[in-house]
Amino acid sequence: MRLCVGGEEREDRMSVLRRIYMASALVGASTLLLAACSGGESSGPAAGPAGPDVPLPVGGPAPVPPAPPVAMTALDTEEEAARFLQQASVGATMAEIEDAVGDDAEDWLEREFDRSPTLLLPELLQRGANGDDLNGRPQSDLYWRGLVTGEDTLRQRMAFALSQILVVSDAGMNNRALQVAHYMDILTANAFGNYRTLLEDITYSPAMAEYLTYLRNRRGDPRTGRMPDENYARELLQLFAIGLVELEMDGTVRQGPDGPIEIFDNDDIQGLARVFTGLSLKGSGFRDEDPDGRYSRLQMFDEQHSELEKEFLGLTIPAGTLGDESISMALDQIFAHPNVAPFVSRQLIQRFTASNPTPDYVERVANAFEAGIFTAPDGSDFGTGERGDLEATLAAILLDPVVHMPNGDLPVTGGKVREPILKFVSWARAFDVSPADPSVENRLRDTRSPSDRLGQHPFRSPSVFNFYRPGFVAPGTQSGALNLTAPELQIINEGASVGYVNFMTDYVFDRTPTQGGVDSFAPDYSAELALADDPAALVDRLDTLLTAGRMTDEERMEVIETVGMVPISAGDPEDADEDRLRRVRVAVLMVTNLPAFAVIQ
Amino acid sequence: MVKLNRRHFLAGSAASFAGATGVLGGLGKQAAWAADTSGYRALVCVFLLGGLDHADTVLPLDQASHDQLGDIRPGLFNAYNVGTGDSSRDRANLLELNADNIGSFGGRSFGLPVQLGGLHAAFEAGDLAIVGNVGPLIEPTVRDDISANSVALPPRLFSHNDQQSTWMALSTEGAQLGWGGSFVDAVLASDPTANPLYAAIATSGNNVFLAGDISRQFRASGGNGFDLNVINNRGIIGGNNRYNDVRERLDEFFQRPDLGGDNVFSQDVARAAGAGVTNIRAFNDARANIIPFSTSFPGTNLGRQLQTIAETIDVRNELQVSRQVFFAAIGGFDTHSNQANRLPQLQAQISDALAAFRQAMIERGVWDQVTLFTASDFGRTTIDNGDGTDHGWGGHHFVMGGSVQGQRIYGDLPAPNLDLPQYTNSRGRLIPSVSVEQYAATLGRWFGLAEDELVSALPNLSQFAASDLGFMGPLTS
Repeated sequence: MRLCVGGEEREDRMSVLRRIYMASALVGASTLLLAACSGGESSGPAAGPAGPDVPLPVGGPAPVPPAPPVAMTALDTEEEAARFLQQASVGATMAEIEDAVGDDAEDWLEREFDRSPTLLLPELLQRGANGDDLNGRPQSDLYWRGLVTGEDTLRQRMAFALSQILVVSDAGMNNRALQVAHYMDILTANAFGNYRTLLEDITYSPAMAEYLTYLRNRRGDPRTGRMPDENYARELLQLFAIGLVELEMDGTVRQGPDGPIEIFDNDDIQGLARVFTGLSLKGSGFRDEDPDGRYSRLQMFDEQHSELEKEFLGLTIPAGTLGDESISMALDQIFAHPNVAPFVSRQLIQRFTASNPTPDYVERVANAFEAGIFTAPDGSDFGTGERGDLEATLAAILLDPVVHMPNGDLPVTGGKVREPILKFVSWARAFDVSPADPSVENRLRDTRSPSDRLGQHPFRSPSVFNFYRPGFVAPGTQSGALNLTAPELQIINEGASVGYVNFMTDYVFDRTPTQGGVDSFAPDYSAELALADDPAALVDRLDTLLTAGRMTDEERMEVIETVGMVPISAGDPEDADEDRLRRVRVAVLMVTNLPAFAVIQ
Repeated sequence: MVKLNRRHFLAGSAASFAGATGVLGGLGKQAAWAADTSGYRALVCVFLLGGLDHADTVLPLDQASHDQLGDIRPGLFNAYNVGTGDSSRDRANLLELNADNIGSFGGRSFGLPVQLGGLHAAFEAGDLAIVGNVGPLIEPTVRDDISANSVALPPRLFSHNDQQSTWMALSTEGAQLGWGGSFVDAVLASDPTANPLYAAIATSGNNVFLAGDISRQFRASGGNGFDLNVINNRGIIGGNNRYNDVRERLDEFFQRPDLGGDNVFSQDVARAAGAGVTNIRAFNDARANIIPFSTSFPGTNLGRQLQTIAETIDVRNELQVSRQVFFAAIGGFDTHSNQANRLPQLQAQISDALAAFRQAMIERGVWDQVTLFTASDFGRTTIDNGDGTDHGWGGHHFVMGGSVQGQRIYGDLPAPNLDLPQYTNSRGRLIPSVSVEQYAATLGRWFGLAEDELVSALPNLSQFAASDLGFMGPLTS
């Protein structure tokens, strides 16, 4: 049983911290954690918030300002390590889980922040130089491969998260491998960098310029009445930076006298649209691109850039300001908006740990985004101190107390519905599939077939609004009745159910096609096979590996009983081994279809 | 091959009825058995995601208006090579709309581009109506009202997701109840024998349009029905009968809607997974009764969706429904650039798919009982941005069906003169002449909803003088 106190030497500090935390009078989920902690070493049932030695906040003249809650981040057990890795990585083997045991989550994060990025453009360029065909979408194969095998697992997770906020879809970009890879690399390289840098890098990327149609966007023409394209101006504000209405620091909508306060109107959009004129591919002219233009920073052609005054969000860029200067001023103004921190923080939390984060969690993370630095429970600092620092933001997300509660105390409205991509990749990593060659995997090259699909493809969402919306509340569900956001339920629903089972069946049972005699994505079940004669032991292992010890008793019994119904042949030893393999596959298929696998917490 | 199906169908249906009632807890009872559920009727929403450029869909045909539009969007006309005689947007190549009420447009005339030939044929045959300048409104609005700040405006205008949500559910993103779902709720409340599982059917992704209190959205797929391969394909686990027990247990496992412990999201996921398997089997069973159409549907995205809808209508008796609302959608209409290449292709896809759907419904003799209508995020700016157009507000739409009072233009088709009070001050965005709720009410009344149910589903309807635009025929009550 996981206790609140990680180790004896920490006990004094932690008990002090518990009192501070308690005094902050947090409600709901946080109270649950404290209730469990308030009994000290007791592992008995939670006694409610009024533990014997806990000073309760009492009504006084001045409310006590909330003290920052403190996380207990020691990864003492395999379950805790596995649980943290589900939230922070794109998947882990049993060996990686065991390696993390005994660490503090801070140690793990520090190692991950130091890892070098898996970049795709250099490899594609090399392939091109070797004469390989880069038509189609080979960048997508490499991206899948990175998800499944990249050593920079936290960075992979973060880049995938960013790809769902700063959305570019390759659905309409066939034969643009270098351009899309260039964009993927921007997100990967800046995954732990600064959000302001990221906004600038995507603004100057050919992929975004093509996707949101400002590539070769020309200034208005008073003679014909032509106006600049407004597409990027609108989506940059609405989707990439600030949203539509003013937010509180905790991510909730600020209420004015007439309800929500809209931040901008169409005049702002028209003003900002003038800023994104004059950009084209690097080259000798507006329509003369260099050979590397598709994967180089865009170039400003001032003769096509609007010379008019540009007015938006309270900023006036004077008439005659050149293009690059205008963009820089515009991005500074947008980035300075107080919405950026809660707007970005809430969405990042949704990608890592909570489909419906509580306002106080959002505020803690947004504070780290604002400060650019996050001081971890063990006293170490993450981030540079510059506003918008993503390392600080990420550390705040992953070291928060709600992420490190004991299994038994998890709030019923907490946790995150995992993206289909993360479910699949976590299976692939858990069983160390090899060779991980997505280029021969038809089911990874097109995930749309309703009958056997994953239903989600990296960098291939249907629109700039991603696969689902951060504010999606699923109609006709329990979470919907509680008005909880659950973006992922927009694609994980009744209609997707059979397709996902069939997709996983093909991978779990290793039925995907071989090419040139190579069986790609073959899982390594050797450790599981050794347990196949004992279904309970087999399921226990899978519970740690795939569901981080969160299987309910009912789920566990369901899997054990079903697996036990595969008879082990008493005759030919080879037949018996095949039956053992059947047991393992049935068990893995079931576990990857359990709610405890679909929702991480 | 799937001999278990009949049992699943019965068990699944019963369980789902009970489940729906349980979730309901009394919701929807206020509807009080009012809606008319006699016979069969279907509404089919075709949502054009991204914002259809209405001005490049219903074009001015008379010389003066055509010239005016060319003056407002020279870049686009140039991209279409207007004036060469070869352009689909040249006057000579437009398909004239011989509307019964063309006389009320002051000598102006209108045409559809040749890519919309199927819609033109339906219009001329009296099966299709154009509803001009529809969009979200809180109350009647013209330009001066906006300048004077004297009217309430729909929030988040020009934003894709919010205006999609507003078209579907009359409020911005996060809405929980679509008007399609409300219509279904009303008829389900009146007809306790109807199967709530198959009254609201989508052929595209999850959408709020079909979200109701009682009604559950079913995602229909065409082609050969699919099922759990690990059960049906015996080779996957092993063909020998000694694996039958595990197969049977596994089959039960995949239908369990009740796992997931205490976590709310886990329970939602479990219910969706279990119900998904159960429901698709019942649907496959019903689909086994489809009699193939002699009409052939185009193999496009929308063609396949409308084929699935036509087939589903064909097995309405097996699905135990007398009222159905369908939702189909295709994307690509956000034509900020390259419009002259992209939009005509999309229009051809719409036209061919809708023409096949009409033909198939006529073939089955159900055309009078089916009404299809278009919807979209918004119209687009009349002033171009060079080779495309930007987000607007009002736009023109199509309503098609055997009961539609077709070959007429409803609503308004404002002339391409940006000084008119139907345009915003900037970039010539249309301010809607009729609201989405008037459009919806006209459809809902035909569908069978009583007046109080319409008012309940469409909260701003009473702000407008006419709660019926007339395209479904004269009021019967």
